[in-house]
Amino acid sequence: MTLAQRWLTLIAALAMSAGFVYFLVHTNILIIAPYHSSYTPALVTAATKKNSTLFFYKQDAWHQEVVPLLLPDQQADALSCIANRWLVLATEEELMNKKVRVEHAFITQYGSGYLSCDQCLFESAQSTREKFFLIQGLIRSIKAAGISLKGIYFLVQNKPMADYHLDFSVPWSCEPYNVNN
Amino acid sequence: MPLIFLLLLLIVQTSLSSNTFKQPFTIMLDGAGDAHHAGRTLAGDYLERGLTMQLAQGIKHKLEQTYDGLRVVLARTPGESATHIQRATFANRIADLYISISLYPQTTKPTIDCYYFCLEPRALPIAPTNNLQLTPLTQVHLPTTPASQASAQAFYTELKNIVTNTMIVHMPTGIPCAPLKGIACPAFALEASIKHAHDIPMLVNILSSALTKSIDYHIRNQS
Repeated sequence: MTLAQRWLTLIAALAMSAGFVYFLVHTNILIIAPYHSSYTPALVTAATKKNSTLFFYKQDAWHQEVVPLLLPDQQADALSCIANRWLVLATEEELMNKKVRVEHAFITQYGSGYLSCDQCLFESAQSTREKFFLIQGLIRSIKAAGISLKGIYFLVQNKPMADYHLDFSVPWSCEPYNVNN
Repeated sequence: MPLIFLLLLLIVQTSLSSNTFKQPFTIMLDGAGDAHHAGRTLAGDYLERGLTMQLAQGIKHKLEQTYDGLRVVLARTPGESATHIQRATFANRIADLYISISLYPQTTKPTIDCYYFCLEPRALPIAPTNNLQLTPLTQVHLPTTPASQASAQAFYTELKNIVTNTMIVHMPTGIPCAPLKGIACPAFALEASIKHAHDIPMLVNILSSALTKSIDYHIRNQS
């Protein structure tokens, strides 16, 4: 190999290395290597079978239905479970015309609950009274399941539920409102 | 003859004084919806914002004819856009009584509901503070909650007498009502069901007649 050929080889190798590093940094190329971890996700979560009472308001009166539920011992998971079951009941009872699902549930260390649904619970044509009692039914059912919360935030896709007539920017109390029929 | 004249004058003065405010009194009527928020679709093709504006204008006209010293102001004009907080700010400057009006499509029997603002059912009313104190938005209603409840109750009682069994009327309920949030003066919200747009004049008559009892409550409190 002549000296010129050696220099050319060296420059070409340096240029290729620089290009490789540049594209690696800008993630234009990825290196996938086998990954070994000691973390094993829990396959089984502790749960208890309970008869839960679900409340709903229909035709100017409160009704209740007792359903057997496998409630997780984790409070946030239990909150999600009971809320989802209540939403199914609300759809069956034709209190809601659409299928709404709780995506995330969270409970803070201060006792505030957060329920994030995939869509708004209400229809635009519903009266304020109907909307209010829908929420009250859900809150009563959560309280009856033994989940003690100071207040519940209602969210849609992790943002406060937007409604013209009811204020969801603040937590809703789990204490009963002074409702007169 | 002069005695009869004096007697007549006394009767007229008495009747006038029951509909007369000693100091100017301002009521703010807030029809649901605005330029950006059309509201519900009612009676086929009508929008809530248009019908509530008609209703509010009709009630304003009726009340101003009935009472001396009463000023009725609308929270917005047609074509104007205002959020709840902007309306509350406006009301906190000039209103002595705030009434929010909304409508929804009637499905069964005609219904009228009445609400006052309540965030925390166990919260106790607090004493009014001086105007220079900053009060959180979630507590500004607390000093006037008893007056709001009393106004709403007076409205409900009179409404029940007027409509008897032709309409369903529910007792006033304290709820986290968004249109009433941040309002410092006594405030309540009315929500009526409507089937046809030509029901508006009937609603104007019913609501303005029932509101006279709420207004009489404030006249008595002024004296």
